[in-house]
Amino acid sequence: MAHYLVIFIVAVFVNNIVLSQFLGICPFLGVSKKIDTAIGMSGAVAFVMTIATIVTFLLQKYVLDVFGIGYLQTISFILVIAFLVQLVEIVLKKVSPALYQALGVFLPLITTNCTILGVAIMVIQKDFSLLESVVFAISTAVGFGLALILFAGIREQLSMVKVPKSMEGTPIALIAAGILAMAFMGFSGIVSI
Amino acid sequence: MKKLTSNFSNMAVVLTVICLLAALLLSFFFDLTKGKIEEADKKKQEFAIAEVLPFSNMEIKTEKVFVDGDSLTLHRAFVDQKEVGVAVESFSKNGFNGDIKLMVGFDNDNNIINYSVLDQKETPGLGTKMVDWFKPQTEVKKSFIETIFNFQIASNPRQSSVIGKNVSEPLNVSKDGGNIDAITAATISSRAFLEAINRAFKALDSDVEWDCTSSATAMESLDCVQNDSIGINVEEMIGGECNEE
Amino acid sequence: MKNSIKVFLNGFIKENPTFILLLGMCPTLGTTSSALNGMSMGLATAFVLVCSNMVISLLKNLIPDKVHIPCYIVIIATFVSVLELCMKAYLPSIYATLGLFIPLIVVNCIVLGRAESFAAKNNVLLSAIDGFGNGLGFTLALTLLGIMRELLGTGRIFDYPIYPENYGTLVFVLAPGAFIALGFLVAIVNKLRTK
Repeated sequence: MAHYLVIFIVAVFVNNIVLSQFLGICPFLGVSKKIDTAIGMSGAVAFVMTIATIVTFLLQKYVLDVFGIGYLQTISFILVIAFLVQLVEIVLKKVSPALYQALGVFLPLITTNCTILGVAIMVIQKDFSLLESVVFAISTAVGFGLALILFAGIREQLSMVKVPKSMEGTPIALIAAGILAMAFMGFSGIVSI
Repeated sequence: MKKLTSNFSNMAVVLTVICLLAALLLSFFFDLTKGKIEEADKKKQEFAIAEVLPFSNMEIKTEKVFVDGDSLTLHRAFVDQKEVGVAVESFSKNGFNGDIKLMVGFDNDNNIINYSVLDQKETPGLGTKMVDWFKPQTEVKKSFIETIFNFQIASNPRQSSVIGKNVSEPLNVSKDGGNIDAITAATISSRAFLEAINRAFKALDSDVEWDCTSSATAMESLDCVQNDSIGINVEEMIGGECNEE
Repeated sequence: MKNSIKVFLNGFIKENPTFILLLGMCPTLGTTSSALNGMSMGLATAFVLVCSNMVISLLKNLIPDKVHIPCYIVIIATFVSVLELCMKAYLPSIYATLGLFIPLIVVNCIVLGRAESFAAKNNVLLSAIDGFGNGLGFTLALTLLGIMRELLGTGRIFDYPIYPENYGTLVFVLAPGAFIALGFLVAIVNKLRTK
């Protein structure tokens, strides 16, 4: 149990996927202007990431490893993720229209979100078991959500501040993200996996 | 040529053909690079052994030993049938950002000849300095500004070299009562590095019973408790330290 | 001829993928801890861009519209895997430093973006030039950011010491410095553009 807690803390705080691994920067800058959309995006990422990690993990262990075709990893993973995102969209539309309402707009954006493919490859590199992978995927998504929502809060305040003309928009957002990353550096080294 | 229409058979055929071609191309490249990739891995290890054991025409015999339940790889080097040194592949799991892997070379008297960092994920600019921090201090290359204005800023002298040391007692950073200066602002990485060195020594000499992972608090208590159970020469060494403290 | 120069400069400077369009931020921030790393990542991406642009432009009439995205992704992923295998074999040390960011070229929006907006509509030669221009523009941006971070962080450029390391501000090599340095670079580019 403690082991899974360590994975959780590492993925959420110590090696935060956005602020220390630099994955998923596009949605981090793109959909962080309002807290509501940030929450929706985080939910969609968490949902797809967990399913995608399970599927790609099984694909790696029972197909790629068995037939010794590990060199097809990148190509098969990205296809599976693209397919899965479509499937989730269709199923969600049928099964839970309410959830689809909340997450639907973000789903197409997720295929090119590098956190999903990144986590799928990372759990293979780190040699995790299936349960560890699931915990890692969920925690990474929580870390992503935490960074995104915190940042959205900062940006809502930031939009009311007067900044030099050339710093408006992305530059000032990047610098604010830098300061947030600095805060997260305080967690570094407390535990590692 | 006219663009193909999006009917089902067209889509299925095109997608399948593209996937098949992709797989074919990749398998071709995989076969092409397979030998090279294995060679590159092997070369990396050979380079590391050659770096830590500077003998020419050595013959390497590889064996595995168990230290505290972990398996370590030993490369014994022979020149003209005589053993000249051992390179030990050691590791520490207590790095700042994950595992640290070292190759440590010992001569026949168990003095460290040299080490080489095989793998580490420490913070760039801090923990990564371990690559040469624990080797004898060398002259820093004069920077552009120093050359132009003709001055030199002296680098701080430090006592951090592990080269030539005999690890008959666990090496420790000075903060923990040892005599090796840790990398500035990277004590955790330095501790992990020394732990890997200690573990490498333990792999050589299975009589040693001290713990490789000695931190500040562990040191004081462990040393004195261990006195009862350790072999004579180690006991004298550590006993002395306990008295001083 | 004139047209191809225009296409090249469009990707290289006028619509620079990093500074102007703000695409491909993950490798931009993640691999620029030194000038050399940034440049290697940029060139790796440029290779994939040129190859995928050429192939997609060749096959553009054979790919039905409704499945064009999956087909593009497969083509891009193939070249990324080829690059991965070749780097593992011939440049193992650079591959080890860039690590995860090499397979992640697949999801770099620049590559898919150029395929969609340029290669699918133009001939092979122009697509190759467009890929080359964008790839070099990306390389330029990554190298600039790498130089800035390496110089401020460790006092070196391409490992050549400019000023003594003790006076460096280490934070620029670490994660927060990446965001801050890029923020200022984009601001400078904005300033230059409005002039």
